Amino acid sequence: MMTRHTKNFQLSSFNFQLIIVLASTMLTSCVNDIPYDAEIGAPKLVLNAMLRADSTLKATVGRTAHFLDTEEPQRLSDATVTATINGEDFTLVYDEASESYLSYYGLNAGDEVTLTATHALGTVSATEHVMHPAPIAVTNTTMLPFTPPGDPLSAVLLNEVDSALLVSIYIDDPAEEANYYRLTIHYEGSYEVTRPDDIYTRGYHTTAEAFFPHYLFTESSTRLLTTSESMSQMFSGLLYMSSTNSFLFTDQNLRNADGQPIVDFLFLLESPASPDYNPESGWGEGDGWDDNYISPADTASRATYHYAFTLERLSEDYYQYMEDATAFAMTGGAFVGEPTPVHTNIRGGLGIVGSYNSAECGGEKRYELR
Amino acid sequence: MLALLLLALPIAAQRYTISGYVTDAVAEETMIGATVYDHVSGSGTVTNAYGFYSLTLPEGKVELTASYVGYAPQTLPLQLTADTVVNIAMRAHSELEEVTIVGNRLDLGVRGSQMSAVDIPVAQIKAVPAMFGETDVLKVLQLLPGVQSGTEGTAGLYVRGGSPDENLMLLDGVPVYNVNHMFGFFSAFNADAIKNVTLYKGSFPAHYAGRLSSVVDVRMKEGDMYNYHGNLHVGAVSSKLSLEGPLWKGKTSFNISARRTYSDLVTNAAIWYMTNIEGDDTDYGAGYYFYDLNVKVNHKFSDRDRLYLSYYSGDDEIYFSINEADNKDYSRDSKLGWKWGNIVTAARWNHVITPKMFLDASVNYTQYRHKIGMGFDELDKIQGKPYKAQLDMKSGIFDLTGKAELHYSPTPQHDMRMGMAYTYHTFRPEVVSMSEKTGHDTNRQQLGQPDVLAHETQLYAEDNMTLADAVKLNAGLNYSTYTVGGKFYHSLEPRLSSRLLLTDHLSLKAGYAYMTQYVHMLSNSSISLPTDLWVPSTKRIVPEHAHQVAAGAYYELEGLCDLSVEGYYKHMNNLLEYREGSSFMAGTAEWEDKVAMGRGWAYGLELMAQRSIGNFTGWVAYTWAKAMRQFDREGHIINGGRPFHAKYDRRHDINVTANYRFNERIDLSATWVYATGNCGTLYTHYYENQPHTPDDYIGKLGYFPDRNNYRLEPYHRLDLSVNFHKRFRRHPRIKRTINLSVYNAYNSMNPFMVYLYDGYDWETDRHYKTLRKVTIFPIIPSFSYGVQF
Repeated sequence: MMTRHTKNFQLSSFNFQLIIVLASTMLTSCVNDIPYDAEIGAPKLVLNAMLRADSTLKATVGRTAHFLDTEEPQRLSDATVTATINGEDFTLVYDEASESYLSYYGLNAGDEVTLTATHALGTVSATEHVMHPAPIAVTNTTMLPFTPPGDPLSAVLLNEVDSALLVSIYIDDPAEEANYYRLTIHYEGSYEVTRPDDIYTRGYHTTAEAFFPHYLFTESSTRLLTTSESMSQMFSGLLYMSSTNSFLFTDQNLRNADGQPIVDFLFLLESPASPDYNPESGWGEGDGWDDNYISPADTASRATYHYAFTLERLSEDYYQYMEDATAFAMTGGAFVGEPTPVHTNIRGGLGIVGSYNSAECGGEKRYELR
Repeated sequence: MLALLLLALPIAAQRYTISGYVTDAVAEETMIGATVYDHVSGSGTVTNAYGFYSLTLPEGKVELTASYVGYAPQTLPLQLTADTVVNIAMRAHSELEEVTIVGNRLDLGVRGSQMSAVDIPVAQIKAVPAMFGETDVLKVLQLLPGVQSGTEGTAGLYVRGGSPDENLMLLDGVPVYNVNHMFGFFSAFNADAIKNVTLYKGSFPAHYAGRLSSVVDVRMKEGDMYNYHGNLHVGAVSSKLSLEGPLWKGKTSFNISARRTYSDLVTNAAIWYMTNIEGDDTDYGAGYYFYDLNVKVNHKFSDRDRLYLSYYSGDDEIYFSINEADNKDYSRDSKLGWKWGNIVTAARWNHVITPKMFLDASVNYTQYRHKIGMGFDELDKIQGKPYKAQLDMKSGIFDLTGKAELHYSPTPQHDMRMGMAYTYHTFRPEVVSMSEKTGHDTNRQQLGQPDVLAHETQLYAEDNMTLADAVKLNAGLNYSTYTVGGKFYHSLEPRLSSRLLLTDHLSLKAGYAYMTQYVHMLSNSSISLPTDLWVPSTKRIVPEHAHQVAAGAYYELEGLCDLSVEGYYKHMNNLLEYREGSSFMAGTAEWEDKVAMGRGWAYGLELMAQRSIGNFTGWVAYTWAKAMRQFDREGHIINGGRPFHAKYDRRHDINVTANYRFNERIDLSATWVYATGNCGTLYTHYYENQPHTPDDYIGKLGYFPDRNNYRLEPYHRLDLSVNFHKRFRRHPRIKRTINLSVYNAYNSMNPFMVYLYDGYDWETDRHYKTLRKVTIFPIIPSFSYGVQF
């Protein structure tokens, strides 16, 4: 498994290759407009809505724009939008301010909703169920000492990491059905330190964020930390390594070695001690203050790490839509990747009527700095 | 009673075997596919890839004639009373010195059983006008029916609906994995080092295996056994130097050919000039180059034993470098480089076991490796310790093969081949290595996937049979196994090719081949890059298979031209494509998750008229073809499981090539190509997305009705070339050639890529959108100068 460094190296090496090829092409090329002779076809209707329990129903109706149109895709205000909720029909009213169709009926988890939009361009519809949440709870938090594995790369990349925070969360995932999730993690840390002549409390983002913000494990991360000999080995048991705060996954990735839907997250915490301590200034790099560092002369006190997890349980259609839409955004219109059709559950049109429900958990951990 | 019985039994005549080598009388270069024919018995054969023939004939009078295009036929009458070795030395016919020929070998023409195959003499390759004046083997193959080119200017071969990784490229029998220089604009084959090229598009003989769509068998020159020759060629993009001659007269010869581009020399000179004007002490370097080096040594122990050693090395490199030296006590070098290339080596032993049995044994090694690297080298004499750091990303494929093959010709009616081969494959998907050296202390680290090792074996047997005067049949069987990661695959592949001779000048042929491919190349469908990766079949990604049937008719208009019409149908299974939405920006780690497996089918009709004698030669080829794909397996869905056009599905393809030799001093060539445009995927509509939260907004989403829904405009181009030859009066052995050529003579604006342009018209004060094409090769005149001695 590649580290973020190597992934970024591959990323930049691929960009480097593309730059070379494109530069070579452009330097020697001629450019001409070409006519598009194929039939353009009528625009398609686009229906979008997000169904959430304990909220009202809101849908947008629009039309596609042909790729040669200079106008952006338009929303339509003259459609007729109806919702059938558990067999009962409602008509949604167009709201000019939000450019959407609204119903003040409160949705409940488990409701079956069929949305239908009728317009001169055609009729589209979709059926979705309002999702139940999947409760999550923190089951364990442990501070683990961390010694970088003995390989040279780890010594370089992990030399400022001196502890790890293990957080285990339990996801109440119904085993009988396939489930789809999106998890978002928020975190920040702060510490208090006593200077020789003053006391400061500084807020800071865990510097580990710059390298390894979090990992999703399904086996004991303690074992990995204590037995690995190289960074490759340590990360060989990972399912994810991400520098973003949220990611999509299915329940196929949830079970740990004991079959329990418990997942571990590991936050590698770098010491705020500066490696470039200046004996003259007593602080970090240079002669001035460096808020992100403490020095050996300081009497470091303690740090507090805040973490919060938001788990969204998604409908299958919405999960597929989000995966495809993200891939579409990354492939940049099929030049740097394969063409990406985006999933739709709209009969006769495009868009998505999706549903999700969320649950949260979190906490904080106080620990002593060295 | 006994007397009657004896009379009834046919009197069995004694039979003896004539065997030997057919060579060029001057250079002793062996001749592949030369015809050896006995006028008395009406039996004949052709020489094998090493110039060896074997013909078993009745005792008595024999009138043996050897023929090879471009050479005067050699007739030898003899009385056959025992097994006899007859080595035939043929003299080039001076009037036909530059004549080209395509497909006129006995085994490939009207009379041969082999179909869907073309033999291309090097003289033909060199006569075809070329981009920047650079003759290119693969570009000439693209002019043949059933073979299509990919993107404008590139050397990729798309043979009967297959993709470039389905072509087995052999150099002296050794696979070459990446035959592209300069992103595919030139191939790795230096025409000056080559003796012969044969392309098989179907009905593959059983001794070829491992790819679905074609075999390109390239043979290197061995070198003149008696005299030294050379060839120097200076062109617009590259220069080439070839030398051949004896190391030991009559016993050992060598042939060395080298080619290198020099654009980097020009760019570095320009950079040096610019930085010196500005008084900058820092040295900068940047450039691109490629080179090829072909070396072959051939030693003849005796008439029965020969040893060949061949070596090829070719690399491309793009680099940027900075050398800073503040003073004599401090320097710092930084370099960023991207390098890719092949090494191919072979050691081959030919041994005539008996007059009827010929052994070809070889050990060969081939590798394709690719590296992107950054290096940093600092020397500070005051501080003391030098510092060096290097970060490389590497990938490659490395094969070691041992092979033995027997050619056995018991009678003129049977020409058999049996063989076995073992290959040890090493696949290196992606490795990142880092090293840091401070003084004497070195730290090294390597990350990435471990090498994947695979074992491949082959056993095959084939017989080229003459069942009757009118009926020939080549039947064979290839059995292969492939073991990787504890997974075992095997495949039994029948091969069949047949000919029915209706008249001396008209034949019908039909053929069938089942092929299996155990290695795959992962390639971006938009653009081909050197990082296109060869990967093995695995537990999840199974081998590809293909069935192909073909049938055709061949007519020889004696003294005028050869006509052929051939139809084919090919069905392929377990083809790989990147999944929808796959991005190549994260490299090829976990590649199995990024690909889908599906099937494809292709069918077409190929017409060709070729003239290969006289001063006016060339061919006209037309292909009607269709190539489709469908990925509808669960978990491998592409395009909703619906069939879609293959990217290089081109309905019509016309190629006209003409060469006219005015006299010894001037010859003129022209090529005109026309092809229906390639396919690509065009998003036809855009629409608003549904953001999860306002922060999730990713802009518009695109919609396309089907993959490869858009077809580019037709491609067409005219190339012209003229050669002026002259021999120096004082040294008539030395000939110089000036070549003037024009690529794309009428400046056809063929598309290399198409994109959507969003512009603003200041005159009408409005935005507009339009499709735009980028043409990278408008009219390109070029000049080259060559000296042969």
